[in-house]
Amino acid sequence: MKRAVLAVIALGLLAGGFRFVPLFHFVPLKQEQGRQAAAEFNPTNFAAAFWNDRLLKSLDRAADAGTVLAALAADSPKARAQFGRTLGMSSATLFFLRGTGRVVSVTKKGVSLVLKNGDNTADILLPTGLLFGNTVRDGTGLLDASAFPNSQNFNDLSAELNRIVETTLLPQLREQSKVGAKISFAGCAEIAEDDADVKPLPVIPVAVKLESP
Amino acid sequence: MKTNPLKLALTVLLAAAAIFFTPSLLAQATAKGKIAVVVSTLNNPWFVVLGETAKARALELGYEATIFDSQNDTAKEAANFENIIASGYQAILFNPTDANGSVANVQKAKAAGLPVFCIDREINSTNAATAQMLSDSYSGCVKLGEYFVEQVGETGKYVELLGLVGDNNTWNRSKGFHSVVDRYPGLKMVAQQSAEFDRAKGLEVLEAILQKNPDINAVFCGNDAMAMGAYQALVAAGKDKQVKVFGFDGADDVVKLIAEGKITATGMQFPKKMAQQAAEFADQYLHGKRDFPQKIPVAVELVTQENVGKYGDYGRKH
Repeated sequence: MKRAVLAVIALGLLAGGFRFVPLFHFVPLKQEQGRQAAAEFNPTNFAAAFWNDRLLKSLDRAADAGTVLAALAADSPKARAQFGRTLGMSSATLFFLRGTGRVVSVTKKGVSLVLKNGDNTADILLPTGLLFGNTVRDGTGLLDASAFPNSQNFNDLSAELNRIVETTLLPQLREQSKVGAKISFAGCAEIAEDDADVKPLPVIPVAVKLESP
Repeated sequence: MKTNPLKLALTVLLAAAAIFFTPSLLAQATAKGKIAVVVSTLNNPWFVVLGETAKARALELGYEATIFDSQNDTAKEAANFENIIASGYQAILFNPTDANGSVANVQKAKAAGLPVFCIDREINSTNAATAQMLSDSYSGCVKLGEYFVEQVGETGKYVELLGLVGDNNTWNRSKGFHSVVDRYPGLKMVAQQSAEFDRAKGLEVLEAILQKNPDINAVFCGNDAMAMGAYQALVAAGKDKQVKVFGFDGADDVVKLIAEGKITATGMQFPKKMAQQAAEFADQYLHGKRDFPQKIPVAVELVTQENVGKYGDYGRKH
């Protein structure tokens, strides 16, 4: 009888011990998958997959650059609300644009285009120098910060997308753009709150097609 | 003794008003419940502003509000959460200490039915907090990096003071800055060391670095407290005129030194805006709203000697 009581007490103590020092933990599968995904995030692979599978297949979502520039000149707040997007608590507006223009100048800064025939004042600047920041990542509206548990991954993705633009599009733009040539483009732009005169609007290209003059 | 009847009437009226209104205000606060404000540290004026603003907005909205200081220690933060959960609070406005280490605390609060709204600093989870209002440190430091190159030039030697190594902001700031500066091979980083977002450590760390590297051109600091410490170290070494200091936060003392031409630039993070929004989100949650975006980026603006007049009191002047 005494032995049985002692055994019960011992089992109780053991169970109590496991309560505080458990042999294993239950972790929700989603949480563990999220943790592993964050740990294993590869920005190069993610950026390449996003670029080929989503971004290049979404170019038709971009707004017509000429229409947006005309709307911005007429009523900037309305045009920003209609064609652009603002992230979180920010005052800058992002645009995803496309269009076709004629090259009016090629400088160290980039390639300047006019969108209308007969006009020589540049509407668009396709920058061809070093690219920084999140305009490409955020401009299309295809990626959402809330899907990334660790913002470092989301920011690494930005650097990778900029690298893709710098290595796959900009050399061609720098080397082959000639005054008078036609360029079809799609790209991302960001306008600060207090930018009154947006022309020429810098548009970081995500797709370009050059035609000879 | 002569008594002015008008004065007496006014006193009686004021006393009656006090008796009439005070209990109703208290009753309103009690009826609405309690909101906890948990701040990573109160040893930095920027976080004091963050915490006090969140508390003030919660009070304005009719809640009782208390600030808890985690002293940059996840164990203290865990104890604060235990205390809050056991004390009948209804929501937590939370400035985390560690992106990974703070997740368990938020999950514990969530399991206890308390919504948690992260302010300024992130936790590495998208299903624990109700929403996270996060300064876009990366973009802010891209802007600072570009300005750094403009001011320092494409060649020179610089030091980087990092914040807390467990905080994502530390690395987002560093990576944003380096995404620009590393593209200029003539800019050489001679030392990179953590000063844990702390002013005294910023001073101490830069003093030691200056012993080995007396010929630096600039110091990039992951926050303004460290920038203040770095500036003090440069003044003590007689190098404050030749070394450019860059901070991040938009703390009032640094904004003033930018206006005086002593510090080169900082990134304004708008702590008041974030803290007020967090309190308003908590109020909306307690009134039934549930569809909050998980991560809400808050834009950071570059403050320089050219535009410093537009900034002050931890934000834009109106």
